[in-house]
Amino acid sequence: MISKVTMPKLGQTMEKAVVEKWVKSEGDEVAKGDILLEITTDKATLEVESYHEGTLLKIFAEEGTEVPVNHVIAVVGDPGEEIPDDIAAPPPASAEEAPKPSAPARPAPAPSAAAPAPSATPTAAPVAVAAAPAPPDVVAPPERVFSSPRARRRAKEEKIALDCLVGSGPNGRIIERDVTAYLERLDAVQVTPTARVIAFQRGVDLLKTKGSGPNGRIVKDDVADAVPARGLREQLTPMRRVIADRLTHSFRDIPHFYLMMDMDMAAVVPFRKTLNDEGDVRVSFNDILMRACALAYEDVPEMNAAWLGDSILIRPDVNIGLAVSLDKGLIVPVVKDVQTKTLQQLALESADLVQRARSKQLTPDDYEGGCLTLSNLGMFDVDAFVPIINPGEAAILGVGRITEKAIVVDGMIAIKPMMTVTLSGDHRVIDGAQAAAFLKKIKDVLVEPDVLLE
Amino acid sequence: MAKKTKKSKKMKKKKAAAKAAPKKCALVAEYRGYLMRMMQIRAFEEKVFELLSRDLLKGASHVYAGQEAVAVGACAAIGPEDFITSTHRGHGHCVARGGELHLMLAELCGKETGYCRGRGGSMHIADVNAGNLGATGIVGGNIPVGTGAGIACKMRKQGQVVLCFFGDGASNNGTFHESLNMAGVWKLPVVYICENNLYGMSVSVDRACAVKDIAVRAPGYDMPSEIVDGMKVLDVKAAVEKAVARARKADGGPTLIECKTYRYRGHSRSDPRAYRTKKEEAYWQDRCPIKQFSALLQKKKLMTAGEIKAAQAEVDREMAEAEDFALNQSPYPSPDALFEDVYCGYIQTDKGLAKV
Amino acid sequence: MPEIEYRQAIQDALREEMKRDERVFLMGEDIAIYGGAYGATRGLYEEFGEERVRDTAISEAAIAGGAVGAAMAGMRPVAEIMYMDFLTIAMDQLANQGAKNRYMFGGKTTVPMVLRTEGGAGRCIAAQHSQSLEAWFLHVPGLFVVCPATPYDVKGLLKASIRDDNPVLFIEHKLIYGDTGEVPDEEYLVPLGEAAVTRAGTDVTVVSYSRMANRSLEACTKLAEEDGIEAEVIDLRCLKPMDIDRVLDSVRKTGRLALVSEGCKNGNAVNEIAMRVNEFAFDYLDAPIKRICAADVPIPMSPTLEDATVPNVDRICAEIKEVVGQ
Repeated sequence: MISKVTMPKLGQTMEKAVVEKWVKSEGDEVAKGDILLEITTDKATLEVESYHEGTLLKIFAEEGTEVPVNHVIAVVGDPGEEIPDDIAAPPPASAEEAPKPSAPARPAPAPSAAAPAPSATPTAAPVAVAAAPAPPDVVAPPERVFSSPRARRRAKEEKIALDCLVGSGPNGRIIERDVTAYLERLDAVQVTPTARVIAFQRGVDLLKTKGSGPNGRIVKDDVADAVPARGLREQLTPMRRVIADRLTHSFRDIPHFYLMMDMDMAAVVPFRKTLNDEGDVRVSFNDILMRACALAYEDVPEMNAAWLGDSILIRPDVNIGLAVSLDKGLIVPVVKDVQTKTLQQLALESADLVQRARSKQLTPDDYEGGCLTLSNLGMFDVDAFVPIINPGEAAILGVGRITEKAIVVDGMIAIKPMMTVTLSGDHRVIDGAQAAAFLKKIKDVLVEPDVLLE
Repeated sequence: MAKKTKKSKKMKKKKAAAKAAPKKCALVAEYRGYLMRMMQIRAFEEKVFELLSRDLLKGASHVYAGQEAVAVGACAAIGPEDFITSTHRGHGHCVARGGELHLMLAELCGKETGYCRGRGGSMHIADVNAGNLGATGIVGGNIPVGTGAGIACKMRKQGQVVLCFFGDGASNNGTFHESLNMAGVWKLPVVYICENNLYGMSVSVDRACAVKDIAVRAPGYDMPSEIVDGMKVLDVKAAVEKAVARARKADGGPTLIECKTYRYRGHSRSDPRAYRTKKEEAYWQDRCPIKQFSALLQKKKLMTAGEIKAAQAEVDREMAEAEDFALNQSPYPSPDALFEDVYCGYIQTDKGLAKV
Repeated sequence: MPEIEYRQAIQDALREEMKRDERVFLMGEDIAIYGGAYGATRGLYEEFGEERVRDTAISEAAIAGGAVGAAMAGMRPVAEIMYMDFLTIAMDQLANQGAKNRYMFGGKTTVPMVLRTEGGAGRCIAAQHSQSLEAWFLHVPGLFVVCPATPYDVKGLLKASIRDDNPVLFIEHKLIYGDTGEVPDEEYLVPLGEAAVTRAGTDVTVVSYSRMANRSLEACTKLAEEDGIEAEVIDLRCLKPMDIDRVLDSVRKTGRLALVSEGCKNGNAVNEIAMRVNEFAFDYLDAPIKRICAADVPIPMSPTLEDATVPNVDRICAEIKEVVGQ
């Protein structure tokens, strides 16, 4: 019996995904629960399991193609079974397919509802998990760029640096037609002769250079400052692309303001040690900070705001994202309802989330719905830094290292473990005063950490 | 009746002698010529052997000493318009055909002044203009070439002939059979002269050859043959003259002449001659062609011992001058001239050939 | 202009040269009364007689060597070896004597001989009667190698070869003897060492000789009609002296080179062309040079196998398409 394998919906907001890699091939036997393929959404790479038993008869969606949810990507059945011609026809549009309404439509029952913004921004978590069996990062063999003698000669004659060319020949070889094609495109670009020569000498790609001269003409200065096209060219992974897009949007469109505050950690350090010695759950500084933030939110609930464009949503639940660095990227899993959890619970949950983040086992629900991101670079010896807000959130907390400093207490120099925290805030939804109050509460809590146990 | 006085008898004798005098002079000159030629060859070959041992002469050299009578006798039977083809053991043929010692030695030394500008060396010595179509390093390689020259001679109809020299070893090679057959069919004016010196290289003729006398093969190719004592120059000359006369006639055709002879030295300088007995060598040394002919000349009162000695001295002088010329006066060819004369009318460039 | 057969063109060339120069004569197996195995010497015995058109015994060494000797002794022989496969028997005379005597004798002689022969497959007569061995003779300094493909070329080149003072190995092709082509009545020569561009083009240079030159032209006509590939086709006509400049000019224009030969691939004559293009036009290459040759097998008898061995039009087309990147 023929069964359709369709693109599954693995996330509330998921509308489509890219077929990353087929684990099973045409002709393979599949059992229920076998992993058929991996797909990449704009957030993560996920495994898709089979709901059917039989032989994978035909694959309709090749690796690398983007397929909308519910469309047929393959067919399972008995070997030799005939596959109807129209089996891969797209399903009729259904209510499920309609674009998700923005948050205001469902205020109450979904605390971890998809974040706001009717603007084109995708939801909370800014990044996708780096796929384990990622597509090759590099187009050509990394150590060599092949080019035919004729192409080299032509490029030299025309003063085009080989670094600017992408080869269409075998082995990624640059051949004459690649030079010709480049020159045709270059025809449309105005360049001064000097700039042309300098670009050639420095290996700058004129097609990627912005011209500051009249009519957008590329002049000497444009090229002298441009970055040479030399070096290893890597294709963008989905994760990288998402990071680039979202953080560019954040940096450009969200008006950031920054507050720095030094926190006295003299009480927290022994507090944590005692907790960990006596308890069987290992509590980290981040867990403590999370709890502290939750308490700060109680004092300054306006901090839990979301910009809706024409209004501001104040949320009741404290969902805090933990920035986890990955190989060539990062992801921010969210601990939900921090206000309801004890330190130990937070510790368990955050440890689990971090582990799953590192082994690429997060689901979209794991990284959606945050109201604040906690980013701690203390383990990298960073004293302080100024983070970029995760779009959809009102603020981000950048935490530096705890280090012994000489500070003045009651007119005397004392040595204390100090930690610098930077809060970046979205000035559309919050102001300095609230942010300052928020930080102050955290500071106070850290000085008297027993509060965290309540 | 007038009594024949002793005086008139003496007068008659004198008159007869006077009549015979120019003839005798001519004969002496002729025979002296043969003797000197043989001496030249011997002197040259001994010199070559010496220079080889002193490493002043490079490469291969196959010495003809012992076989002089064959070359000299045979070449005495032809004229300047005729041709010879020669073998790897070809110095003797070259001298017999009028080759000059100093130009020959220069060639063997690889000098620019040699007959072949140093390109051919011992095994490829030639003087085509003088009718020596060249020696070859391939055993039997010259037999088809000589035969081809015979075709030319026949077609020209000017009575030219070809002497084609080769050894007992070559007579077992395919080219011998193809060539003699062709000459027999077309009645070519070629005298095939087989110098049977009893050994190929180290393998004796009775181990290599299915027949004892090479000459018995001649009827297989429809030509007459003759076996000659190759140590007697006049015997060789007589046999070749007969064959040449036949060849000069239209459709006279070829002849196979087998000269029984011996080479005194080994095949080449590195050959210790372990395959021959001292007894055998001594037997042939006793019958040295130069010694024999000298003895004959003296016996016939054509030359005195003193004159013979003088002839030898003249040869020795000539040889000394040749040695000086070749070793000391002659330059080596320049590497710049390496590509000259590979082709006729074309020079070699790095791209290929260009017409001159 | 009259159209005559390749074999007719050969006869005419020989006849004209024999009339012109009494030193020219022919010898070979079955060339006189029989008129040649492929009819190339038909009628000449009747016209010139047995002195000048000589039937020989089956003696390839004597035939080749005889030509050497006759040439050195002042004649201008045109000898024939019936199948080029038999050149093996004549090898010493041709390669060691004929080709080398001029040089070995210090330039003091010439060997103005022509050794006519024929090669090639297509008659199912198997490995010892179907070879294309021209590559062997490129490796003998002193010897010219000529491979005409058309009636026009064979006549002009044979006359030129007879008049040239160098020893020439003149390689005809058994499958071309019946081909017809335009041949002028008036006297003409085709110079040795001059290639012919049989088709102008821009996309790829296709170089060949002998029967494969004709086949390549056929293939490239097809490629133009069906695939829009404009190939420039060059018939070398002579392998030595070789007109490499013509090839280089073309490669500089097109950037791509395909070499077609009926010899087997390993050690093929066309390797010489590839190497010279590498030496003199490396910077103009847009793709690796490709050679399209016979398979490295003794040529089999069966027609299906023989066809699979030697490059046919389909294979030539497919390989040229690859060079052009399609």
